[in-house]
Amino acid sequence: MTTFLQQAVRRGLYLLVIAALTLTACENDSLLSPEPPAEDLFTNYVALGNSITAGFQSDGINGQTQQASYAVLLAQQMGTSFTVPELNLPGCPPPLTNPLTGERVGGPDAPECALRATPPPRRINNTAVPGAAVLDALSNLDMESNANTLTTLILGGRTQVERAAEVNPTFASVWLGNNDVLGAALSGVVTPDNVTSPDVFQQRYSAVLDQLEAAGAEGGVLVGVADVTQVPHLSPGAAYFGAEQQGALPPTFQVDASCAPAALGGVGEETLVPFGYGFGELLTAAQGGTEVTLNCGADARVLSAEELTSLGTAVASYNAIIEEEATTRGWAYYSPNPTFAQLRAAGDIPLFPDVQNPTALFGPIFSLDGVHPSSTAHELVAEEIADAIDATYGTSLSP
Amino acid sequence: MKQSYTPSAQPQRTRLLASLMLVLSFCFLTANDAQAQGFGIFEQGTCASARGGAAAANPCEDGSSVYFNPAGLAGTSGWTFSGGVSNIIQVGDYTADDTGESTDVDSPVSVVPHVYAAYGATDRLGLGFGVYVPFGLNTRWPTDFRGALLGYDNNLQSIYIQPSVAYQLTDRIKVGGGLVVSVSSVELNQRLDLAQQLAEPDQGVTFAQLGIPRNTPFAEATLDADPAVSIGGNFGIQAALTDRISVGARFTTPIKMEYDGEASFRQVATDLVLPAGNPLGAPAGTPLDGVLQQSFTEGPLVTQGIETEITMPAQFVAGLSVQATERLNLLLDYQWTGWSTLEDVPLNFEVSTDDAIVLNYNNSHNIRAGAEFDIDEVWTVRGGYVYNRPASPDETVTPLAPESERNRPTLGLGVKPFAGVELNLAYQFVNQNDRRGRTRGADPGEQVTTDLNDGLYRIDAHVLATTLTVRF
Repeated sequence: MTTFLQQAVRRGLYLLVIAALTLTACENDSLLSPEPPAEDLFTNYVALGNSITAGFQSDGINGQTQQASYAVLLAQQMGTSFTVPELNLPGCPPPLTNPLTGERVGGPDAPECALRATPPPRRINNTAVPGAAVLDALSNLDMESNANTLTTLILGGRTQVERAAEVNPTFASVWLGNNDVLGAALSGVVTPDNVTSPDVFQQRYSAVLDQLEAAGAEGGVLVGVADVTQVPHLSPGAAYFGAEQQGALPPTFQVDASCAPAALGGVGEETLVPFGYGFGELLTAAQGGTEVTLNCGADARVLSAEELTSLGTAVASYNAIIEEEATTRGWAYYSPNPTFAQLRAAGDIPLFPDVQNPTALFGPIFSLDGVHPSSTAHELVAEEIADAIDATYGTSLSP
Repeated sequence: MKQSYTPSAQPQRTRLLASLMLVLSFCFLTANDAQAQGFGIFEQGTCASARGGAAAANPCEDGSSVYFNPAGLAGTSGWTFSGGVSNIIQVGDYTADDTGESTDVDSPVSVVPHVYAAYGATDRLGLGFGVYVPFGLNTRWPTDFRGALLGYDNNLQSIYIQPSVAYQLTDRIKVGGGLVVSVSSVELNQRLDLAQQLAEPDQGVTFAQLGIPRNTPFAEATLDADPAVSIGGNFGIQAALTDRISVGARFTTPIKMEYDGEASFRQVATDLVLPAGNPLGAPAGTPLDGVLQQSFTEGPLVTQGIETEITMPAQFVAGLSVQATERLNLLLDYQWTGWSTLEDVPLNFEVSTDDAIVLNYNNSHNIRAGAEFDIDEVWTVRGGYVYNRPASPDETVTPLAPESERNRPTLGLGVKPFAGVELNLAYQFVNQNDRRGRTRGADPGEQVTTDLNDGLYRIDAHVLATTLTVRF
């Protein structure tokens, strides 16, 4: 009996093994998530930044402008999953459609903020928040923080680096620092209080990168601070002088001789007038019948040569710090300024708003607020950042 | 060579009776902890389990015909008592699409008891009694698992208590049936997602719309229902077509269980802090947990009553038995289970807004093939194979019951060491196909579709069963 039983058990076990091996074929790995990107480095890409990275355009932001961000385009080139904190249409706030009349997407009845789209993602890859300076990537609660409604809507009670860490980042892009100097430029008044000192900038910027590396980031690309004096929101005083000479301004809008070019004895080529001041305040008042005068020598709202020098020095200092950080950490570095300078020299960035064409008031490279890059510019920046990444890591993001 | 069998002595029988009582005591002691893999449990007897559960046309002689086909009680001679357990060991994991991270299922070993008694009152009249657990569920996941928002520790068990009677109508036809008293309890534990809660109820604005990401747990909920009792029936017929071929069928009625219980909620810290300019208008630095705390003391998350109901589905089984040789019996069963009656599990709260667990189950189908070979009068080997389709459609594969198609080979051994005593052992490997599923519920206004699926469940199980049977 024992022999018979042993044979029976042996046969049973044999059949069981055959069955188990056959059934193993029921496992189906093809049901797993989509294939990871070609490069392990880009498995989890996270973007930190401010309004540019967030996809803010024409003084507004919504799901459509968010998808136009260079960060989204870069992720597509990486072939990696990239989630944005999508805002409902028409936006929060809705982008301008005509900056001269103030019309926005959705019309006059549109809500000021249409809130976040649902269902929300579990994690976000684009943690950038409009208005964020370097400090804001680290803290939403600091006395100097620039936290705003979008800070909560995008980050939901965490900081940029905290949300970035949740993604278990393998690669990061950081484009921060513009708002450490931009506020001063747009206000037309530059003081030590509204421009972050290089020492403080260095400390905060290093902390952001340290925390990203601690979260697992193996590489990244650091984008230099844009030369804020190159944005078309800022027009030379001489451009206003020329406009008056050509009769493009109403009779109630006077432009002082101080705004004339140097050849005519003025300082107009060395000064910049913020659009918000020149058009938003002076022109609006003049059109209302109030006589106004733009004075490039004495008007505190006009950026003087000294102030422009201060801004330029700050930007140069920031970018030296950023480039040094990139070199030290072995990350890629990209500065957008040479390209934007070329575009300005080529006339693609106008010196003075094209009031005859309000839907392209600031040309093809900038959106309708004259500060934030257009979708065309985002495409250009994404390509150049991809080149910088390829050059550093030997990848092949660029076509 | 066939071994001769010698009846055992009376003292041995006494010792074995004591052993049987010990086993039965163990079963009852663990009944409160009885847990089961999957919603339907077919392992109601080790002998039948070893055959792949094929028993409708020829139930095992251990009293389990109370469940598998009450008609089989007719023709029983003397008393038969049996008791045993099926131990279900669930293994597997869930792999998330977006991160590739896997989380192992953390279910404990489920111990499912069964106890039967059968008595042949006359040559034609048989009586029986059984206590078994045909429906049960126990799935446990780590509390930090993303699917904890749908349930991380869920228990459901329906114990069927069934007195039965069977009668042999003719030499070839038997019928039987029994009243089923179902005693059922359910406990659901899950985390609640802040993103899905209303931040501004008057305007219908959710926290998700204010930037709170999905899967931000802020509370743990326990829905604990008191045991519910309801009545059903289990009926069967068995016919011998020839001396070697018989057929049988069983029908178990659906049983609707209505539960009353208590829902309690505990706050889970989010550690979120509101910055300046937040849409709630709170001062910068306000901890969100402090804002939410009121919900647990005087809001919708106070401890409150809850009502729910679950219908244990109908089952129909038809089977064929062929005595191929003197020693070899071949069996084949088909089972239909009416799961389509279970569209959702309503959760009617005393204070909070009513909710429901959407299931949308489909009727399921099983094919079971089994074989039993008597090596001699002491030893019997059994084997079987089960294939079953899942009840859950593609859109409701969740941590609660992440089921899929299953292929289940079985193997068993029976031994009769003494006269009137039989010990059965069985092993079953539950090979479940990988299946995509989800870890979250639908948002308000969102449809439950496969678009919600966000990962892959890979779950298998091992079942070890043993039953001791004594006949007088």
